[in-house]
Amino acid sequence: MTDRQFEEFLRNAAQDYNRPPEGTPTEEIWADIDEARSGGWQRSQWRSAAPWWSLGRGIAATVALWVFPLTAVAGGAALAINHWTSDDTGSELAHLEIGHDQEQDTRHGHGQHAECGDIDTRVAALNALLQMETEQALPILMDVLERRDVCSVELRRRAVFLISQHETRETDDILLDAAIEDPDEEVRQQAVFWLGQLSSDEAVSALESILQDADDIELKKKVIFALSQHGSSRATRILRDIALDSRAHEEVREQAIFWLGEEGTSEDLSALMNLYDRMDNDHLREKIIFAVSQSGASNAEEWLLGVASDHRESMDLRENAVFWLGQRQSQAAVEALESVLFGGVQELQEKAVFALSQHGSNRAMELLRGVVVDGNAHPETREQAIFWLGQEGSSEDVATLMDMYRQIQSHDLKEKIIFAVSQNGDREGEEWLLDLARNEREPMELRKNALFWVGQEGDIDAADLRELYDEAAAFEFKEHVIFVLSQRDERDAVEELITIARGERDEELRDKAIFWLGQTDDQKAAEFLAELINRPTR
Amino acid sequence: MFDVRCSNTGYCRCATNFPNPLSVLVEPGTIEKSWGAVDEELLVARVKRGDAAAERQLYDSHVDRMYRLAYRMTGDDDQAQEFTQETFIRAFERIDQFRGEAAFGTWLNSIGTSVIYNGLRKVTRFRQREYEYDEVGAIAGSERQAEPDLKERLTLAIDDLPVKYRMVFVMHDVEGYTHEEIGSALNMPVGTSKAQLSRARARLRESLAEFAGEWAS
Repeated sequence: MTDRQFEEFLRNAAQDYNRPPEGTPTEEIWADIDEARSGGWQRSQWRSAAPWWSLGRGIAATVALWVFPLTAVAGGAALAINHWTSDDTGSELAHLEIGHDQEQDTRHGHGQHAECGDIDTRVAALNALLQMETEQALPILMDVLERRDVCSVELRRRAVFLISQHETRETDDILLDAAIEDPDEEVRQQAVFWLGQLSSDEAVSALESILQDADDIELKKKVIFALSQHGSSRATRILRDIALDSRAHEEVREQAIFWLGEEGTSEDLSALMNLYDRMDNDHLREKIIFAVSQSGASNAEEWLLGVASDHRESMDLRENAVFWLGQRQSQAAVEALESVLFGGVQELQEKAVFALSQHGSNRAMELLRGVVVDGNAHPETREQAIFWLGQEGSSEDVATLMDMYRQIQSHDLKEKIIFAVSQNGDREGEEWLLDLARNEREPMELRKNALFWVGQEGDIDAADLRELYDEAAAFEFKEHVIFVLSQRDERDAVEELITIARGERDEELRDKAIFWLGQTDDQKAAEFLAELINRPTR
Repeated sequence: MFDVRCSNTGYCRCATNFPNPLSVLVEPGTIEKSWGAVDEELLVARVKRGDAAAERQLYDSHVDRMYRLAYRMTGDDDQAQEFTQETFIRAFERIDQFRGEAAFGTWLNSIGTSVIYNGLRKVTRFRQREYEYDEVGAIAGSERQAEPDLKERLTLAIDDLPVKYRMVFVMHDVEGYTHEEIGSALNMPVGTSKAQLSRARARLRESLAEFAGEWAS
């Protein structure tokens, strides 16, 4: 097949490549444009911000963990993981599916107690009680709950659920008894869970009494969750009291704080904020910062800024507050971060830079650009801003960095700009880096730096790199181009190295190209080396 | 003001009374061509004055082509919409910088290709990170695929092209842009566009070598 025939074939076959749908979603795109322009937000920004909150806590925590080490705000990440992936929270959420899961649990139970005989039939009979009138079903279920033999464990676990479905005046008491008296931990915990699902005030009283009387911390934590799900003002008040109660177990208080942040009213959150001031337990104070940051409280930003600005506070907590400020997608959060940025505390300024980069709004990025060009800002803060503009910024941000490069003298900052521009992946940025590498008036180290980073990007042609090689006069620069080509794991780069090795008159440079060709496992390189070795002597 | 009447042969007669009475017969296509350009200039001028209706008209004229290119490059409706949206937002924001030296469509293309190019690079980098993160699981869970057919192989081969080559290939061979248009859009000489297309095709030919019998038939 000739080239022309192949081109024709290719053109036809490629028509199916990512074939667009029949109609362009004109109105949808226009609506997005409209919204973005009126709200100062772009679809992409909204999307990139959304995963933190919409992917689910586990994934968001993973993202936080991934990003966080770069910022060294370890406390925040630990906090996030603790809340988002702890067994406690996870298992409590899992209880929501308990009705479905229970069948499976029962089958596991059967496997463990083979001597119990045909437990499937018994469970089926138990399940059938769900369809029966309460007067008939309840006595049977209560009999099951009173059993203590090993074969009844699975039946009792099932029974607490069935009893909760037959809601009568006795239900709360029966579940309360099961929660306190049953020897099986899972039966107790499930009884607590189903108590939280009952709408009655008696259920809340029952849960409260468990909190007061039980010694089992795990069970108390389940009670906290059950109360948070009840949603009544009394249930929430109990949570608040526990959060404030210095005599209560720390883990139980921590759970109460967490669920108040998730489910609480503005009054509850105000109580938490007040508690923060009176509390000397930093661990719980961290939990309050997190809880407030996750809440819908209108004054959350102001409060978090207050924590961040409080000189009496530990730096860890202040940094924590700055981090969580950045996770609130509000204008007020940006304003608060702006205050931190100009607050004069360098550690916090760096955290604010990161938080702003994660916020991603136009204003946030504008502030970051401001830091980059601010000659009075601390060099490390500027470096951070440069780094995050490179990571998260738009073409406009990259343009700011490139402008900035021309204006500053600091070698270190120039290096940071080169790296940041290379990381952004912006096309204009790549061209700028290539120009920089070519520019003989620039210091050699910076030229090499630019060349190295631009060379790492697969979209710069190996041929472009060799052009640079041909144009360059300096030995050191040529040597560096050879190195950059050698670091590209691609055939084109090998071919360019072969061209250099073939045509270079400088023996040292030629040997370098040959050396690096030997490091590849490319067939062409091997053939070329064989050719050199077997070249006839003259 | 012009009065234009066209016959079903495509010939049109343009008449005006200002400044002097004039009536001209023009060839098929002339009106669309010249009036289209004039219309667009007027639209751009109106957009510069902040006319929202004109923005919408300009958008309507170009959104299809932009969305198609974005879709071809991403294969994903959400991303294509996102890139198209961003292209128009940038264009409207920078409309004052549009001097009218080239057609508005050409200028828009240069913004659009830049948005797509940069966007794809970011997505690729993000996916690489994702991949690194999930590498173990992904490898453990992967199964060797059955021999892909030619179409699948072609898709994979195009996907594997460096973004710059892929952009040139898709614009030229799939969406029918000329090298002049590609050169303007990607800010490169026409010769470079041709060279890159040639390299892209060569790579694709090599990737499809084992199907030579099939495509030769």
